[in-house]
Amino acid sequence: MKILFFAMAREAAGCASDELQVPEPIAADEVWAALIAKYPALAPLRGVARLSRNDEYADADARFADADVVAVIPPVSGG
Amino acid sequence: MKIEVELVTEPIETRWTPPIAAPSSGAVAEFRGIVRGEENGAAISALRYEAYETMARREMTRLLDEAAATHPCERAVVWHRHGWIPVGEIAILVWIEARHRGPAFALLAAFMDRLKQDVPIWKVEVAP
Repeated sequence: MKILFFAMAREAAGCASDELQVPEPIAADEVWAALIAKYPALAPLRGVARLSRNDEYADADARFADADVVAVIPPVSGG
Repeated sequence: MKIEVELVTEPIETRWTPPIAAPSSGAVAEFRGIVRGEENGAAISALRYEAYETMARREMTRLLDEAAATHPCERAVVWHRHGWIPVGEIAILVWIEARHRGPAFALLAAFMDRLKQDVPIWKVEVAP
């Protein structure tokens, strides 16, 4: 599964993207657990940042597949 | 409603040409969000915006569509700039065209409120 990191999440992860090997389908909680296991600095963003799946915000009960592009979206500040 | 959304890196000032309003339109509301010379109480000279481009375009289109269900308008054009933007230059330009001014103002306000909650664009760095 491709993971994209933006803004604070990119700074915390130290990279803009990564490939995550996960069993599918995987729930949002499990995506977060896998991300934090690999990038502990992302832990403070859990509960603050949202996950998107294929360019749309993912619902709390979303299931993610290996072919999905998942992004970690910290609180936004555009405009 | 006709929707055009663009993310640009060059100055909006030099590229923007106002569209020609349709004959049925009696109102145009244009909003320009400008980079202020101050961030968190400190003077700055520029701000850097980062965008998740594909999703930002999709979210802006979705929010405009959603807002148009309540505030029917004829056309919405949004340009958001990213990368480094000097103080005084336009970060976002929104053009709303409608039959009457009420829905144009309402759609503009509703869209800007939602943009600041949901569109994946961030202010990431400032230059003193």
